[in-house]
Amino acid sequence: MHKFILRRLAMLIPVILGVSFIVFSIMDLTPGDPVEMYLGDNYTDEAHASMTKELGLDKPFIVRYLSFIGNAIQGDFGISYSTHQRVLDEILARFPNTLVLAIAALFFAILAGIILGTISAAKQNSIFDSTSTFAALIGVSMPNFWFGLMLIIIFAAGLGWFPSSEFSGVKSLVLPAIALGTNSLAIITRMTRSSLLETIRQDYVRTARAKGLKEYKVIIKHALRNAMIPIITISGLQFGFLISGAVVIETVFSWPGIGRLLVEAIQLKDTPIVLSLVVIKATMFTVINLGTDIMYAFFDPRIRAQYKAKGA
Amino acid sequence: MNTTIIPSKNQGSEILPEKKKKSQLVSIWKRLKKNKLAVAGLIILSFIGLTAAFANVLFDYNTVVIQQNAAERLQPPSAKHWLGTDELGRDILARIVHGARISIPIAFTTILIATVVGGLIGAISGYGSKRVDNFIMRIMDIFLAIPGILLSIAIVAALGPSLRNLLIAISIANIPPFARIVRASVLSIRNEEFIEAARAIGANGVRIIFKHIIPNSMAPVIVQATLCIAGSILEIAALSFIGLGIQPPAPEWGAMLSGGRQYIRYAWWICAFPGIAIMLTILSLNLLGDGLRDALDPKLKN
Amino acid sequence: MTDRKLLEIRNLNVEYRTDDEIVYAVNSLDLSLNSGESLGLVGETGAGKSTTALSILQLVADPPGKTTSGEILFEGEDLLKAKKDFLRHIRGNKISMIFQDPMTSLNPVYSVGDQIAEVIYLHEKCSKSEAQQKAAEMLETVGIPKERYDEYPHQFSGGMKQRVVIAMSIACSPQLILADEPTTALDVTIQAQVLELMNDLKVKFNTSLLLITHDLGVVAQVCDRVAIMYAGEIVEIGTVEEVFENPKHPYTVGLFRSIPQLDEKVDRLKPIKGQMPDPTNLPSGCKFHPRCPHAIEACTKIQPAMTNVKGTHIVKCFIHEGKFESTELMEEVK
Repeated sequence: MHKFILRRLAMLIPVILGVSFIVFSIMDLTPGDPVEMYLGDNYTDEAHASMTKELGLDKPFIVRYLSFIGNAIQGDFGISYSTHQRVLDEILARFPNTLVLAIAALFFAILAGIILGTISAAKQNSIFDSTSTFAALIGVSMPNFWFGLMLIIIFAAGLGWFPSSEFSGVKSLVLPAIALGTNSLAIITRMTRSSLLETIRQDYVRTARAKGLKEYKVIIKHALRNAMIPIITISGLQFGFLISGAVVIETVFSWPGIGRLLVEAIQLKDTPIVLSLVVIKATMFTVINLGTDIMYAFFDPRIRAQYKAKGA
Repeated sequence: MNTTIIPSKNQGSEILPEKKKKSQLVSIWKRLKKNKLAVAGLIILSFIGLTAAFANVLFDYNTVVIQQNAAERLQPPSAKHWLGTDELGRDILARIVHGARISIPIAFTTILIATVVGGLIGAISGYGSKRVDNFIMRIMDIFLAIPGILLSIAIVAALGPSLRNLLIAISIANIPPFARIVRASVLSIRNEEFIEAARAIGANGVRIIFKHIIPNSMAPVIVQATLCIAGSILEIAALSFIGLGIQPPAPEWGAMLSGGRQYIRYAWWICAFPGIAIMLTILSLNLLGDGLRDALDPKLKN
Repeated sequence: MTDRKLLEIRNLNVEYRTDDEIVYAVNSLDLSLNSGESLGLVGETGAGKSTTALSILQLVADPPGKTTSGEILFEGEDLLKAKKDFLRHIRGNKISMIFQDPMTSLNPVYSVGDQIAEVIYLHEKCSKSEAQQKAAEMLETVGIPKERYDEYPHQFSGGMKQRVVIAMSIACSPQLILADEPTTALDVTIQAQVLELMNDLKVKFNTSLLLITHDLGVVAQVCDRVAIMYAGEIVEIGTVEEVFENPKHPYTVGLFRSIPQLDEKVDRLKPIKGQMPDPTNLPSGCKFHPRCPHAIEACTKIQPAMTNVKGTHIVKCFIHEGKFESTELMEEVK
């Protein structure tokens, strides 16, 4: 098992190198002089020349890329053009906020998605089922930043239940988490329903009924447990998106996370922050997907056995 | 063709598939018609397409959509302005109708580019040697490791916000799924008899790709394209919303949301309606895409 | 063997309804089973045997399955009208079921021991650890070492899985076991072992058994009585001796002819001509008449009644109603 995980982790390295190479190349195309960005408007030619050297911009592309990688591994992502702080510090200061928001959104999406999907499947073709299926269709088709704005209009501006943009306590988390999690909620609902409809027809579910179990126990303990693998897969993928793709929603709610940091950095043309953020987010996305893969094992003894066989 | 004869080049291989294709299209259409949700999607989509096509007849671009009118700022929905006016006194309905002329063509273009480029990459990958295949697919894996919106943001951030860069960014972000689908189709049919037959009569690789493999992988590609157009419309709106896409005063839906954001406390309609336009367009594309998938592959249904 | 009726099915009708058609799976079926008795229910695939067994426990999937009329009396209580709670108390406790395919009837994500313990914990007022202990004993009873309690279904062979299913079904000492082709999915050697095991357990626990099979040999080995089912109806029923030594219905006769006999030298087997009728469009009159070599016009119009020919031997055929005589058949039957 550990060997298997290690091997999968090793396979991440070329992917992450590739991602960083692509992003680094894209960023290198950015028009404008980074030294100028860094120094501001007033600088001497000597200052420009020494800063060019200090930033290593006189070196060829591939050398710059390799030194970026080398430094990044040591946790050095460079200096922000705009704040002149270390990029890593800037990101670490904001990351917990994004993590809290993503976890809250995922928790909401998984909990509500599995409940809605399960009731839908258990009462297939009922009014509840058609309503929740249609709502899920709307949910996947809705731009989350627009939904966020609508939540602000109704619950913050209208009813005044929640703050719209202050960043304070649990109350300020509610609306952004719902806005961010709703797409995932819809996707998880659909996946739960279709996956459960499949397992509900299996023979072992009939066996469970024949034992005299209560219907909800049959559904939850026997059918849902077997339907979990695709649900976990989709939830894992969603977590990847929530944590790395939550760029726009943080802007809507003025949430001080790394998504908003990215937008701010783009507006300020702060290339080191943009570059590092994209690489870090893509890395997190990949690592979360790997984590999802490993999570399967806890739900299906057959896959657990395979992992054991491979790892041994 | 009851008797087994070696097909002469023109009769066996050209005419027969043509006929077969036609009857296939008919049965796909019949299955699609049965799916009420897909038909609803098609109707909504046609409606949006028609209003976009005749947008200039309905509302003049320069005087209604772009020109500011301070006297009519922030008017709620009324008989004169069905969906109200924005912070600069422009009619929101007119801007939404004209907005479709921006989002939909761009989305189609990006997915067309992604389909052609991704399809070619996938065909080469599936039809090429193992080494070529491995090389290409590893690169696609790397692209897939970056969420599409993040890749688009990175590209536009680097190249600067403009229509051309937006097209490039969204197209590139959508290439990998098409490459994967076409590759999978190619791998599944490259060893089938009719490909071997084509090879046997001396057709070269390019001819086989264009004549046989691409037509045969059409079905999943069309489904994916429909769903990706929906995704593309969403990405255009998201990028415009954070100022990286279409720039004001063009009436792009995401840009409209961004412009109206400051006023949501007093004028909910500025943000509500453009979002509904985005949602309806995406919803209808999703419905159509799901319906097409079921119609093209009845085995997958239930 | 007492004469107390444990199970009595009266006029049972079950249909499967889809958008386009109705499958008539079980039609006016009557059947009864005494305490401690084992009855074989024999018929071709699609004759409605499994549906009959499933409807006893109300496990027919609904939709598309629907029980349209009838009574299923278990110890005098009509299970079709019973409340859900009562039905759950019966399921797995008083009546248990062994399913056809052991490969798919165990839940892949729970250990076999826990799956057995589940039914014990549910019906016997005991603690979880007591249930686990008893489940381990049940494993031993069916010949599986209790050390394998924590293993998962995928680690077992088909025959071993079926033993687990059997252990599960006898765990609460039910009065009746419904066994739906318990050996069909197994190798021949394993089949014999499983049958022997079931026989032993039946004697040991004095359980009644409804054994569904299409294999007459299995019936001879395990059952006291046998019922022959065709197109959702019982066409002949009697003790194993009565039916095996003196088959009366043309279909039963055909069934016996289509299996090879070891002690007789036959030039070639005679399968029954034709196929099972389309269950969405059953023939009028006697449902066997299109395939029956002796059918007369009356058979195409009127349903024959169940007629007692001798002892407990009952047949549904005009020949034995005295309505007409087919000398040809009478000779064959003898």
